[in-house]
Amino acid sequence: MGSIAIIVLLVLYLGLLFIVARWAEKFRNGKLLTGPYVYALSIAVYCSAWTYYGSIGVAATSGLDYLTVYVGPLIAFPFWYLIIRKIIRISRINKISSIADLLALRYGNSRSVGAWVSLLIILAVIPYLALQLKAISETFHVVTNTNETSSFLVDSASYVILIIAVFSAFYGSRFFDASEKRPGMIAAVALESILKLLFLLLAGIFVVYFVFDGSTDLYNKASELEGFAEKNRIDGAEGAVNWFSLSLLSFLSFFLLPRQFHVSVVENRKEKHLKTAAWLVPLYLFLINLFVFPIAWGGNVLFEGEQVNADVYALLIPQYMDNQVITLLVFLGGLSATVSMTIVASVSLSVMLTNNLILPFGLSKRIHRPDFHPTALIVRFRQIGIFLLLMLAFVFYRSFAMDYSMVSVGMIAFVLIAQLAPAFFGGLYWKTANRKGVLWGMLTGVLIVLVLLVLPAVLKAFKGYGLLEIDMDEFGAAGILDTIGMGILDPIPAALWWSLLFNTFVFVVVSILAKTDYRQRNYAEMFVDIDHYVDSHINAFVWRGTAYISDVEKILVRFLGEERTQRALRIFRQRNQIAPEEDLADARFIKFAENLLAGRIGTSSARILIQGVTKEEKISLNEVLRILEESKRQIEQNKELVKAGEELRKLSEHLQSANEALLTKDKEKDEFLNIVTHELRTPITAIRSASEILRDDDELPEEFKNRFLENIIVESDRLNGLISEILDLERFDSGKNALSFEQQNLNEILNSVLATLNHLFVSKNIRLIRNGLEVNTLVWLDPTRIHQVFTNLVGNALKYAEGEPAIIEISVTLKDGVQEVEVSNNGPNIPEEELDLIFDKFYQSADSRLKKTQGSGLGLAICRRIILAHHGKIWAENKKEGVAVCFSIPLDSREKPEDSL
Amino acid sequence: MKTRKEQLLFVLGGVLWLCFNAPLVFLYNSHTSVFGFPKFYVVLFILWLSTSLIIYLLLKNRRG
Repeated sequence: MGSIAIIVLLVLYLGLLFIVARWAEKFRNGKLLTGPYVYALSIAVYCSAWTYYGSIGVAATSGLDYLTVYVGPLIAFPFWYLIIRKIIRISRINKISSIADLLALRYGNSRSVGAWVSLLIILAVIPYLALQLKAISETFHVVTNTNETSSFLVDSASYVILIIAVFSAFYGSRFFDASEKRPGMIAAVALESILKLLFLLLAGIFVVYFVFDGSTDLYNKASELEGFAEKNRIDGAEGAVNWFSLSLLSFLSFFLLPRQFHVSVVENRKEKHLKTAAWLVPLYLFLINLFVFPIAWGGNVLFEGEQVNADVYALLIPQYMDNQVITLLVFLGGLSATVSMTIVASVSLSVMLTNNLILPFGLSKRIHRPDFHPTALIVRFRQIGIFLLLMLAFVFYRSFAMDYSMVSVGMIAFVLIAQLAPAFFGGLYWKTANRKGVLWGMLTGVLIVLVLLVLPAVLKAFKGYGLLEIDMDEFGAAGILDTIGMGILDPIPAALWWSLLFNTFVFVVVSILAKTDYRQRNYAEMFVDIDHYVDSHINAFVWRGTAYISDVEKILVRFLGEERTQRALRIFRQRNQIAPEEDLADARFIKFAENLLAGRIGTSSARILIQGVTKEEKISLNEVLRILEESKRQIEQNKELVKAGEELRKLSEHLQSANEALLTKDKEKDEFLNIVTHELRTPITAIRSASEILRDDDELPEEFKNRFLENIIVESDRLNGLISEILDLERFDSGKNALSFEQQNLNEILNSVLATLNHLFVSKNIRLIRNGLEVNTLVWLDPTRIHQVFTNLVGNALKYAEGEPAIIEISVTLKDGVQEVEVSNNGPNIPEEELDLIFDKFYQSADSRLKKTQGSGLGLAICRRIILAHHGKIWAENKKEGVAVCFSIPLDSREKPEDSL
Repeated sequence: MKTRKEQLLFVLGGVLWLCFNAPLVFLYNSHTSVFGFPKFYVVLFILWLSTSLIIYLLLKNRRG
């Protein structure tokens, strides 16, 4: 494929990324973009060109060692979840935008720590960026079938790199607030993660199943190659130690690489997204590594004895098989891996460059001037910074890295980055760790790495240029490495162990011996015990001095703008109940202002700015600890108050619902009394009327007298029955009506009831159908009460049964330890919505057909209470013709059945 | 390590160090073929997938 075509393709590809990024920014609050999967995929930025090409190169030439770069992070993931969660909490409340910012803040808002960490990272990451550029250049030449030229000006790959550098500089510096989320960039990185995975899997499938006849065929052919066995197993104790060391190195790098910090911490939207990332990223790493071994060994088989670069086997194999489509897709996958890494690394490096080096050192005097408006300048610095860093990486690649494999340069970068480990982990978990310990430890470790790894590499690169003609053996580094490696460790593990050992030792000893200041101690407490302070961190900031809100406000306006400053101040005053006219700033305001500025210019520069308008008093360490203790106690008290408040709220809700229940009961009682009064008044009125007639009319015929007297007796009986039922109901409701249980056969009780009511069946010509007469199981029950239930149900059925013939059907069944009785008639149906209501006290149906009978309206209500007292159920249901009232009781109804608990 | 979940994650990290390093690594340190892949890769990748699954089970939100 021609160079111009590839460059056009690259521009189109970058255009696609740009469109995706713009779309993501437009819909920045969309569910997909703010969800955990995009976040997890962005963490896969770990897989750069090193994974895509370098791993295949190592697998082909050295064997298993490439796996350590992924085994380290795999082992790290359980710890990663816990540690990154802690850092996210710290970063969110302190507006931290980079790992240099984190360490600078932890060690007392230290300019020097921020600067040294940034310098170290830039020193380490530039070669790493050079690797990405090398990958782009090499693969470009493979795809276009061209050769790298000695002059970069006539090398087309240089212009490809230039386009990527301009794109990164333009895109990566669009946000002034460094701690702000960049949904566009993250969406583009997530998309690139999908593309690089898909295309590498495609290449793997192509190699295994189209170039070779499956994995067994590939294995059989590869196993005949020289060194296959040795390369695909760990070589004894020596190999195991190196394997362990390299795993440890990548374990540490996964936490410390600036691009990993950026995507994991700065771009994290919700803490819970870590849960998805913690399993999805290992799965991603698994998939992307699945075909590395087959591609590597496929390449070894196909190109045996030829001088080809194993790093680009993924491109060479489809090209060799004359498959242009797969070659191009693999190239695009590699481009995705490179561009995503380059953009994220450039953004994080440029933020460190401006916030930790240029602003606190280069512009330390200018930033205090009231006429200095930094927004545009900082953005411009970041743009130039990204571009220059990439150009530096390009120079590095053209000058040094051309002769090195990707992995060897990458590993040196990893060892340099690993020198941050003591400061990083110590700062999070050890309160005594201090600035001096960090600086001396880091210096020691970096010096060891420079002497053992970087210097020999530089000397080797210059050899032959006539500048530094020092032989490696004369210099002695190789000899030193051999000695300290004790004949077991390879150079990288040896340098890692010795540098980390001395770094950690110096860090610990100096931290213990050196005096710490109150600011460091303050942040040590806040970092290590972040869970105590996360809800009220602003109260844990110790500061004493004189400062005015109006002075700080002027600084905020310069960096945040008038509108945002006023909004922030309004919120702060409301939240902390500070009057608008109050101008004296306290510790809370100082911390609040520092946080606002830290997001834009980093924690160190923010501190410098605030210090310029405040007079801070020194506080002794003991006092800091006392204040922190007090603060911790207040926070605990606040938590307890919140907890007590919550309990009070629950109690209040409970009381309210109890009150509502009482009001309902009261209303029910009033309704009940009204109905009872009405029901009692009806027979009393009849009795009174009849009695008055008998008293006032002496000449009343005997026949009428007797009728009135009969009425008085009937109504008195009715009154008596009603009062008995009301009392019965009240006894059930108050729980005073104890049942007297004995074992009885339900059919026997039913027989007795039916015998009593037989004359009614005869007089009304009602046909009785009995089912289940054979059921003679004994049931624990109160016979008198069940007799009452039967009387009521059969009595009701007698009232409502109609038609020719009128029918009542009674069924007794036994099922699963429960006896069920159904009493049905062929009268009118009950409206469906009233089926449950008929068991209420004094219920009267709206249906006129159901009103025809006389009754107290309490019969079914009493039945329900009797059945419930037997731990049973009672219900009504409509039949095709008529209504069935059913009840069920357990065979031993003395105790509540288990399934109803 | 306040919660049980945190303790389990910590233990899992330790177990992974053991599984992927000497001496346990020597239990599967062989280039012999399993499904056309060296045994070392097959075992390592199975452990890898299991790790992802275990972390998922440990961290999944039980309340949905």
